[in-house]
Amino acid sequence: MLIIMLSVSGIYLVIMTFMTIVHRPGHQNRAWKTAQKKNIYYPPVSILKPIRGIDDDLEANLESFYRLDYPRYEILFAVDDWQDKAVKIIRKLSDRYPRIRTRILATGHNSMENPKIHKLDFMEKQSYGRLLWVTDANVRVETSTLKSLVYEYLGKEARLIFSPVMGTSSRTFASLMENNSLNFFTSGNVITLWKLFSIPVVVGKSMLIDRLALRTFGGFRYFKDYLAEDYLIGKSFKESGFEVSTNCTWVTSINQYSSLKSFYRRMSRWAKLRFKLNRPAYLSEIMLNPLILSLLGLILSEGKLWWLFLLATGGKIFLEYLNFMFVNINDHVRPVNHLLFPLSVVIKDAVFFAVYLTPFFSSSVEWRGERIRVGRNSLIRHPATCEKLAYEEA
Amino acid sequence: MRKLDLARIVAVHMGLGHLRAAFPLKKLSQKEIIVWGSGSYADPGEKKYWRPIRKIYYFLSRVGSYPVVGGLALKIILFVQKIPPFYPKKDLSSPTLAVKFLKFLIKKAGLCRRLPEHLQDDLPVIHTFYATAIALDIISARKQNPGDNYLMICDADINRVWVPEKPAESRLKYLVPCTQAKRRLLSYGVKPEKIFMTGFPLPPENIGTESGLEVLKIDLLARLWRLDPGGKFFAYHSHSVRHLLGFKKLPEISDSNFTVMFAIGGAGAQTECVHRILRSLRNSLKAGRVRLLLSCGVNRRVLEKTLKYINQAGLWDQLDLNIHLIFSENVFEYFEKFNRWLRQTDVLWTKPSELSFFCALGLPILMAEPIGPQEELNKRWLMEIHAGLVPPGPPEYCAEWLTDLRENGRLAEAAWDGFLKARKLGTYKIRRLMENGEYSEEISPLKQ
Repeated sequence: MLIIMLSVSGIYLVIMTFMTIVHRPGHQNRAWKTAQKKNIYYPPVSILKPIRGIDDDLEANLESFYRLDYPRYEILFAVDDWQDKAVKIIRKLSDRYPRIRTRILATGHNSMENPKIHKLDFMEKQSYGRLLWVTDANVRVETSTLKSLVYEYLGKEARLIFSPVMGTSSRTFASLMENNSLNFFTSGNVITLWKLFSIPVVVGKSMLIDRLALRTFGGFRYFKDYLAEDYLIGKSFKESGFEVSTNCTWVTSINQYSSLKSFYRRMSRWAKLRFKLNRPAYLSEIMLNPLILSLLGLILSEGKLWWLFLLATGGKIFLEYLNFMFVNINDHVRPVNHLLFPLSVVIKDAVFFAVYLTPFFSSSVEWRGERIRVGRNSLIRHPATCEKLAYEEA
Repeated sequence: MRKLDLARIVAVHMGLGHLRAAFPLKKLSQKEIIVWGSGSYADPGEKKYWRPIRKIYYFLSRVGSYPVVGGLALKIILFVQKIPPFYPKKDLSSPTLAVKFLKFLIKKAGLCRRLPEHLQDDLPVIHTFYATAIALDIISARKQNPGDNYLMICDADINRVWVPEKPAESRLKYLVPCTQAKRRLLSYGVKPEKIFMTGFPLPPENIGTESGLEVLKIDLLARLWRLDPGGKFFAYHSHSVRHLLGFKKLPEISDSNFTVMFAIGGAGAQTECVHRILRSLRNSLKAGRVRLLLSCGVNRRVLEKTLKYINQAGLWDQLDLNIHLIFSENVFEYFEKFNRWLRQTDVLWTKPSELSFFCALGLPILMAEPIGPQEELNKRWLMEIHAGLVPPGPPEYCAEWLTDLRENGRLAEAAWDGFLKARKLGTYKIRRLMENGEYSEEISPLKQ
């Protein structure tokens, strides 16, 4: 049984690695290359950026959005209040690039709602673009990224375009683990599930959304009661018959100085959300952790299956290293990353297993300093009043 | 209507019907509507009863449309909610198994035991669901001077479970929407002095003032014009329309388009039908001859499925133009939107639920397939007063038969009959009853 599970796991991971390498960052498809030479009308875009505090290399991340090669766009930032340290950086950038329309909104904080959706809702109301591009503060992009996304929107008549995410710029051991998990596990699944099964795994770090399609739900507020807004936006669009697509235009997430604690917390939060969103899929995730499966085999066989453990560990390190070599090019320059890589894979998978178990014992997550209880579909649970009676799905 | 503190309103989230009845009564209370068993009302111990009941209710409402199991589910619904035949008239006061079970839940399992904590002794209570009303009746029986306890009946005919085990000894009073409901209560042993024929509480914003009915009259006249492009209805009824609506002269132009609202229902039982309607109305919608309002209720699944059908029918560009979606996850916000859109509605296509009583606003009701015996009897009531029409063909040909019904003036006739024969002043009559005990039964269509 264990060998069958490991075989399935191995096959899927090999396919996943292969797909990720084929659709690696900077590897643009032929249609897009041809399209760049054509005269295409690109509709106006509003870039929506919810911000809170200073992320790693924030200024450089934000600046990449001011350097986009795109005919008409604006950038809207939403902060909790004007005391946010990011405001100074944004003002500096908007002065540096006066031709790009910039707006900063102080939206306050509503603890009863998804904080990101709270900000997006404000920004949507103040924006003019036909298309809304939602990106996180720690995201950095290429000059051609937006055009590439909009090209997919125009070509497929898709209403939502999502992207794989490259985690990079590791400066600590934990950030190396975090970036590897983002590149291998998250983006690998984003690409593989889309290419093989047309299942959209929408990651909130980059979503290009058709404003009119969003309005049919009543705007971003439709998702305000849920913590996993990105997944649900993708699901709702798909189930409502709107085309959802990706042309594997990567965006970059800068994670330089993560600590082991912050890595564990983030992974634990995501695990709890995935558990609440789709339990069968979550349970099957253990298949993507051959190290743990083979370790289990080692224990059950009283050490007889040592060769299987070594094979699984070696194989997993090899596949992740391939991914590292093709995807996370920026981190190659630091030799220490290469040296620490095998250890980072083993420790990461051990952390993943610990994280994997947490949703079975706890349904509350820590989010921006608050503990939030989450229910089905990542519903934010708080004492309901009947005037704000939400439908209790039967 | 001014917001007074005349009563406490208690409803239960069991489909939208009981909440919809409570909504217009909101202004009688300075406190929010008590939705028992939901949110902060009811302790966790009690929620364990309400939640499965609600789940079963929604499941049975939905499953009726499924192949194979649907038939069986319908039989279960019919058995559980069975309403005995009214004729030959007989004494039906002896309690049924359901009545005894409810009493057991209240007395032994503590159902609604904490409800009195949320009420105020000197104020009457208006319930829109039987369980809370009967529970309060039992709990307060031990008190010296319990306040008045009213139960609003939400259908044209009801099951015995709406009445306590010993109706003659009970202090529970009833607010009824129509004559048949009153007759039924009498047959269940309720004393006549405890029955008040008020009518179903309809939204005042769709009516205007009690004496003037200004909003209702303006909306109805416009609707009648849109529903009678051939002038057949007005050929018979122009005199009575002028007389009752108080317009000296009728307008001479008639709109070429009209608006149909399709109410999908709280459990989403009618969602599949949207697909067929959209296919049929596709060209009319694109040409702007028909406007379609799709009332998706409060269920995200229903909204998303409806959007899917709109996309599949290639009508995405008609959204917010000739197709409008009525949805909110907040039940009361949804009712507000629904009532607002109702003013622009010419035909209300719904299963004969509590929405049947909205025919009093001069809305012709196109009746979708009823679910459960009470809806069967609502349908019968609508047919009796000629305010409801059974669709003459399947939904996939609705573009054809809607046009025929409109051109023959049948829709206008149904709208007019609903206005004449159904009670429209329920909210106002209930208010006066709470305010100073004033109550009278009227037969004039403008006063009932």
